[in-house]
Amino acid sequence: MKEKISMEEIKKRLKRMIVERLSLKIKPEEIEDEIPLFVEGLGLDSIESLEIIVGIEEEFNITVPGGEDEEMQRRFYSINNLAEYVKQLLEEKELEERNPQYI
Amino acid sequence: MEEKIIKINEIKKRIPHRFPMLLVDRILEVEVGRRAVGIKCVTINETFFEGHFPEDPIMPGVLIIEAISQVAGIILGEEKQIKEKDGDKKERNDERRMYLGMVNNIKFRKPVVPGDKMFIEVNIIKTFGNMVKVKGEVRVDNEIVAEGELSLVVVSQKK
Repeated sequence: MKEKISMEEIKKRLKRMIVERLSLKIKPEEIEDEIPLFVEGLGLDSIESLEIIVGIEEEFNITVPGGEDEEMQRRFYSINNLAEYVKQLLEEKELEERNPQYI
Repeated sequence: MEEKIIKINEIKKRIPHRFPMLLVDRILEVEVGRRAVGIKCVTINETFFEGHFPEDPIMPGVLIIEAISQVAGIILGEEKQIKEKDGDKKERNDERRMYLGMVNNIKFRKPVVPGDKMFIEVNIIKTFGNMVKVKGEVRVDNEIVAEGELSLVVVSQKK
């Protein structure tokens, strides 16, 4: 069985991916886990969120399904929230692979 | 796979662009929500050749990007046509516009000049909410002349 990725590892990979994809002029480790990614925090905008979604799909080999706006805003609020969401998607994917009838 | 030629009068029903900014002449194939291939025949009569450049006509790269985004518009417009047929009233009353939001990894490999026939292939990478990211490849004589990724924002305008 595949080894589970730790939350720390997910966060690290998320930060590196975001900095690279969006060509941010900061180092990945300068992104704090709890600061808002959009508007008042890192100052990202909606079109950059699409870039992050595509980045997550490629980095973790998962599909990010759509959702209610409010729900998505919560999931994309900070690195902490985003890492939780990625972890959840990874777990769902693993469950599905082990048991194809699931869902 | 769905193959269907869309000619110019049909294209004009699907996207709002007009002279001198309509940069697709025909759609050779389209798969709803996934991909499309369009063509643009480039002639010396294009208005931009007058200034770009007087002695050396080369199609501006930004207009090749625009052509890619127009073919992307056809892929999404096709969805609307089908909904119209199904009598989805809400969709029919909306006029959809697409605005370019981000351009990534664009490469122009060869100049596009009068006499060239551009084959513009667009594949959707991801649709999310009202945003869509696509990959475009433009070929002339089977050689890639330009490629890159575009992100577009779809805005519904109620009539």
